[in-house]
Amino acid sequence: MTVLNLFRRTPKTELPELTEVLDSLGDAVLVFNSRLQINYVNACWKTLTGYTHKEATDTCFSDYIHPEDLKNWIDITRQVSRGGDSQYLWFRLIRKDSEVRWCEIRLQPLRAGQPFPLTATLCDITPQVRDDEISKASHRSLSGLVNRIPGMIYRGRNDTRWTMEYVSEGCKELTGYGRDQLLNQTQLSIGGLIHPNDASRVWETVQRALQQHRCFELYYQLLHADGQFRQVYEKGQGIYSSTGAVLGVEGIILNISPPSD
Amino acid sequence: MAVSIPLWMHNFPQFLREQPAKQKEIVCAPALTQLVVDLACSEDIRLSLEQALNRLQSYISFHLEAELYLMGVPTPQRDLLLHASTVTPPIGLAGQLRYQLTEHYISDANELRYKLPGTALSVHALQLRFDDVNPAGWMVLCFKERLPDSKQINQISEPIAEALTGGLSGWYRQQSRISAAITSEKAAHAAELHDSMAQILGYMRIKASRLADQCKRQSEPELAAISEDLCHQAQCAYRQTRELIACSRLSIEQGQLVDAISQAISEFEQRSSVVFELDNRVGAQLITEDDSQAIFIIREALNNIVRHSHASHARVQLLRQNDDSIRIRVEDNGKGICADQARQDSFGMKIMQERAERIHASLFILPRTQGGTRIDLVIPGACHSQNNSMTQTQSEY
Repeated sequence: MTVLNLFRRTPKTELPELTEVLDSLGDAVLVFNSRLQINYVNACWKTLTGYTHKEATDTCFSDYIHPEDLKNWIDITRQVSRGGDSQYLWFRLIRKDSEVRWCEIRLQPLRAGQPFPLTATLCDITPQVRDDEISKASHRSLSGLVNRIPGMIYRGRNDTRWTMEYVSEGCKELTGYGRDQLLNQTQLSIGGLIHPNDASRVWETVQRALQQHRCFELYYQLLHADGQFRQVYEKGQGIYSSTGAVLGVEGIILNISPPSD
Repeated sequence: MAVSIPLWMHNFPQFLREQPAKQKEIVCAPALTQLVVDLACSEDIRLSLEQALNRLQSYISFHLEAELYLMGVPTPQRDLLLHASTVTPPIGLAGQLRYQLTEHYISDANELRYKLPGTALSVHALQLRFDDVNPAGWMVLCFKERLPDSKQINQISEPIAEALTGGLSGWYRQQSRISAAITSEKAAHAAELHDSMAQILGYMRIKASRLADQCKRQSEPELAAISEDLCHQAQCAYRQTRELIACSRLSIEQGQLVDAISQAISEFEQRSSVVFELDNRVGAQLITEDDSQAIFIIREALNNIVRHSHASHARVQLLRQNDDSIRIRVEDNGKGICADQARQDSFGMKIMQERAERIHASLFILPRTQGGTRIDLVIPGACHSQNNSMTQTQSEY
């Protein structure tokens, strides 16, 4: 008997208090009542928002949410209290110092089958969102730059039709055709637009440059959608695998015809 | 079957007594046509709507014992709760209706009936529509106790709703035509200015600057001073003309400031590698004395960020101050305003200041403590307090 009792007692004394566990977490933990007021917050709440647990208790959680995200918050609280499933939301939390933090909140009912109270974990995702915004901005700025270039930047396959994987918006000005018409199309290809007199010279020049892993420079005539041939200049190079196999070609084509007026 | 004369005599005056009530109903029909005309030709739509409501309220009180309100009508003060002068709206009603009808309403519902939380009042709201797409606001009937059934209310209120929609739609079309005319006139001016004045001034600016250089080199101090002044004036005239052109091209409709700001941000982020962030805490309805001036200042600030700041991040914040003013803050983490650049840009800054003064706003251009520049545009009484009522409704929820 004594042996058994000893076994029973040992784990009890070693387990920390539940509040201690909650306060040690790196995410905020919250409990909401049926009016969506805060009943409980752990220690991380203070770090995240700047408000103490005393200031937060009995306040409405919506007071901490950015006005533009309020509707989403109301929507998920309705879904959770009706459906009972856990839901999550990315929103902007307004700190005590008025700074904005991006947070992810996961919301669920405390007990299955009862709409309230609700429990939630709140996690600061500001660094991820900022990184995401930076990469989006850099992509936006780069694609803006590429598409505004007065010429056509391309990446295509090394076949006689020069079928394209990517062309910049400049293709419209140069060929009269939109990007959708030129990309991966069987009927229309850049190869088909090259003047018949120039086609074989273009092919040979590119193949020679590819063999020598050099850039190629070309002057030839390209058929515009309006039926006129335009004098163009092209500079490009091969794309190679590490073993030296040709994967495709990329470069830029510029219109060098004298202006019509 | 025979009716005694005394009984007939007794009933006859009663028949007479009922008559005035019926007359009132008949009188109302031609008044509705007048109402449509009054609204469609209105010079001050808010005043006209209030006058219309004064006339309609007695009719509604008589038939339905309800109070009549209008909300979300596309006038410059869209958020305002309009009512007859005899009606005092219960405290919190404006905020509640604004929250329910203009901010969180369900787009396909034409009729909304509910009991106001925490009161004995019930609401029957009917959506007014110009057409399938464009809402023209809400007509709200507020009942003290019992909410009559929909059919009974609509019998009385539908002709009124139709008249209001008709009148408002006429007014709205008229306003759109006027603003389109103004815009095209401004654009025509801009084109003329651009073709004639700006090109000549541009030429003069270059020549004057060359002249100033030559005078300086030939050590003619008197001529040098004059030519430098000429060069400076030509520069100013050129910049001012460019500003005029830009301003005439940039005309926005009143009430579209928030939209215009987010459009400006997406335009600038397309053309630079700066990460822009819009932190709007005032909602979509932000009305200033002259939105065109406000957007011009903001665009100028964004322009400076992209052109001169070397910043990687920029943030535009729309914040509501405690005194009901709006603070529009544009800040960046760039190199800040150095003395050199301030001189170069002093013209742009001066114009920003002038524009701010025109709308009675204050403009502060300050270095940011963490590096970069902060521009604060504080617009007094930009729109009436919406946040308080919102918080109140939130806690009610």
